[in-house]
Amino acid sequence: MPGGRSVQDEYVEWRLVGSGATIMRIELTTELPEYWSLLAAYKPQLLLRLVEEFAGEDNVSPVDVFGREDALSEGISPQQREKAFSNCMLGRGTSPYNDGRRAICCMRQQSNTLAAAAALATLACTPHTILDGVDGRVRAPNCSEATSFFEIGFAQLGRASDPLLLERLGRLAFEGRVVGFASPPGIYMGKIQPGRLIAPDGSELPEESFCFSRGRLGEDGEGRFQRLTFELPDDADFAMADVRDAATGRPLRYGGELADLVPISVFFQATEPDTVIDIPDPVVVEGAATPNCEEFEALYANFERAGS
Amino acid sequence: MTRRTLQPGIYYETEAIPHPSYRLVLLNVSEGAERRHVREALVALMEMLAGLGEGRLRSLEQQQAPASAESLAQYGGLDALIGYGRRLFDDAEHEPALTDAARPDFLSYLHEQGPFPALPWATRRRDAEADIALQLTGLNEAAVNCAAIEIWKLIRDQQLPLSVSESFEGYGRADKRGWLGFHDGVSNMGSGERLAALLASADPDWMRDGTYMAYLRIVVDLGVWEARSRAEQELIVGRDKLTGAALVAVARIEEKLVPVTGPAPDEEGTLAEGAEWRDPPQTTDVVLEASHIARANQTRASPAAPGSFRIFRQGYDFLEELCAEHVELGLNFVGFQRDLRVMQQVLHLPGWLGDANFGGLGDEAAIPLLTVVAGGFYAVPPNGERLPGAGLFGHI
Ligand code: HEM
Repeated sequence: MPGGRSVQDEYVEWRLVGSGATIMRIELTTELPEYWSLLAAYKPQLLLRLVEEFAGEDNVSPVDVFGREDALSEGISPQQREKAFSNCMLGRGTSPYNDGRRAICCMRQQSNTLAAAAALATLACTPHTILDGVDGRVRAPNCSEATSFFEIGFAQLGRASDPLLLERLGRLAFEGRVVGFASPPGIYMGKIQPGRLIAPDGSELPEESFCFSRGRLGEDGEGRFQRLTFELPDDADFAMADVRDAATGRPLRYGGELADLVPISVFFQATEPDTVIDIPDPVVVEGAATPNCEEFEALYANFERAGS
Repeated sequence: MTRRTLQPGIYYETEAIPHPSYRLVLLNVSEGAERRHVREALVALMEMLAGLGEGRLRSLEQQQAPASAESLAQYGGLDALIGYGRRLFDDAEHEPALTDAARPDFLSYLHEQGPFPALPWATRRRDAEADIALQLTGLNEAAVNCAAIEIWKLIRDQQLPLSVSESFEGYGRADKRGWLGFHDGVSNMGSGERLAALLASADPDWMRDGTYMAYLRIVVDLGVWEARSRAEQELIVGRDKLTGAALVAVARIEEKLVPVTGPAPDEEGTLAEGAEWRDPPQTTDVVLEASHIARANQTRASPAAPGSFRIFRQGYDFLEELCAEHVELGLNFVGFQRDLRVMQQVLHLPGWLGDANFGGLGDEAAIPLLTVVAGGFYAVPPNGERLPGAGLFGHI
């Protein structure tokens, strides 16, 4: 995707591995930067082993991950190490082990954090009641209305995740339920849209092309994985360039096209209805809230800048 | 948004009532035809159809009033819409290529091995993939059928480089119900929201402010449907069978699931009752969340939100065959949307219609109720002066 990781802001980030225009493998991650920061602080050796595994290398130097030679020495406090790691691997850090050149380990885009998801969920779960100015109904806000309860830009209709989270959590809150992240909190992947990626003969790709890792299958049968590697098995008699999306008839060109096919899940648990009885007075909304064009325009301009 | 760039035949405006008779005529361009000739042929067809809508017939050019008034009564109000299919862009089908214009990403053939994961092909298939689709909608069956034959005659008489590849018919019902016995088209977005769901972006630029049509001729297995009790059917659809009201809850009585309906508004019903009747409730019940109407529309979002995946539906039922042993009937699902990606997402995403043949939870989601006899996706460019999408065939 033009613009690289800076525009991968839907709680999933990815990299393409290949040479030139030839894609060999696509890796997606939903691992939280907060978790990796904790690893950096308290389990740096484990972190290095993970980086080596993801990069397929044997001896990754701590300098490339922490930005300093002495990262593993005893004189460095966990906080110092965490900071060094963040500077090197997160945000605008230039380590090749998390900018896609040699590996991708965890998410680094500023919106893709547990803190952002938690803030969104917290606000979405704060009960809001709408008195519909058009038809007089008292109801939970729809997502177009719910976004207006946030500071501009915090929740965006233009994203795929925000509207859904806002509306679905808002309904639970409207029913007077207390909602919390199911443990362990995370952003998860579990499946890929069936029937979309096809081999040259039109058949579905072999199942082993999709390797979900860094997680487990939940008791409810839903996958809670944080890493997906898409690569054809060795015995496949066709190349990645021949894999097509059945919906476009075109070969995959960008990691974002694969990301589009992977539902991203956050798991919550909720109490019975009417646990919370202190529901605020309704806010009156006149007519269906329309999307904010400026919001879209600003986002688009941002996208273009990133792509240029 | 006040632009009226959409072609006639999409009844999205306030108070607009879809014409009750439907016929889709599919055309392929003859081998070796030159772009210029294809464009001229299509202009001739569209002008002929526009004339028909005004009561002018080629074969009755000399007719005077009141005979021409009779023709107007027969054809008046006829709407003709033109769309371009994936095949038009397929260089393997056309030598020389018919267009240099960019193909919209999701303007694609339906997948040969099964159009959608939970909505399979019917055993007996027909072909609805063509270069060009002409949607004819009119006030009566004779109007659309005769118009279809006028197309066929013009092609023959003027040896236009086109041929009719298939044609499908349908009709609307006065009681607004479909074969399942339920009201259909109850919830189709407020008229003020529809343009946001309909208008295509300028990617590619020739589609700016046009729209996309998804056509699926879906056979309904009435035997499968009628084997279910009324309550089971209501839970699968998400609406009350008698009134069309959205279910508001599911009661669990002696291990049975019992649909709970809100009150249907009477003549003086308040707006709030009307809205509750029409819109699926903001439910959190897993059974209702798995119903057809909840799966097909997961948030009450403004259609402008990319994740809302709203479709403006304009379906027409059909009855294809009826004899002692066999009946074939169903719905011409006609959906207009700003991007065909919307259809693909709705019909592929798990939790949406990607893992349910029609609706329902668990085993109910897998009931073999619907199969697709024919289907095709079409780009419907904005209304042009003589021919929408004329630019596809080079500069005029
Ligand atoms: C033979 C096939 C089908 C039948 C008989 C059928 C029937 C119905 C019925 C009875 C309703 C409820 C009435 C209403 O709200 O209008 C409905 C709603 C709806 N259906 Fe279908 N349907 C079919 C196929 C499809 C397909 C293939 C799609 C999507 C691609 C779809 C999308 C929708 C949507 C979006 C709604 C409105 C949901 C809402 O916003 O409330 N339907 N359909």
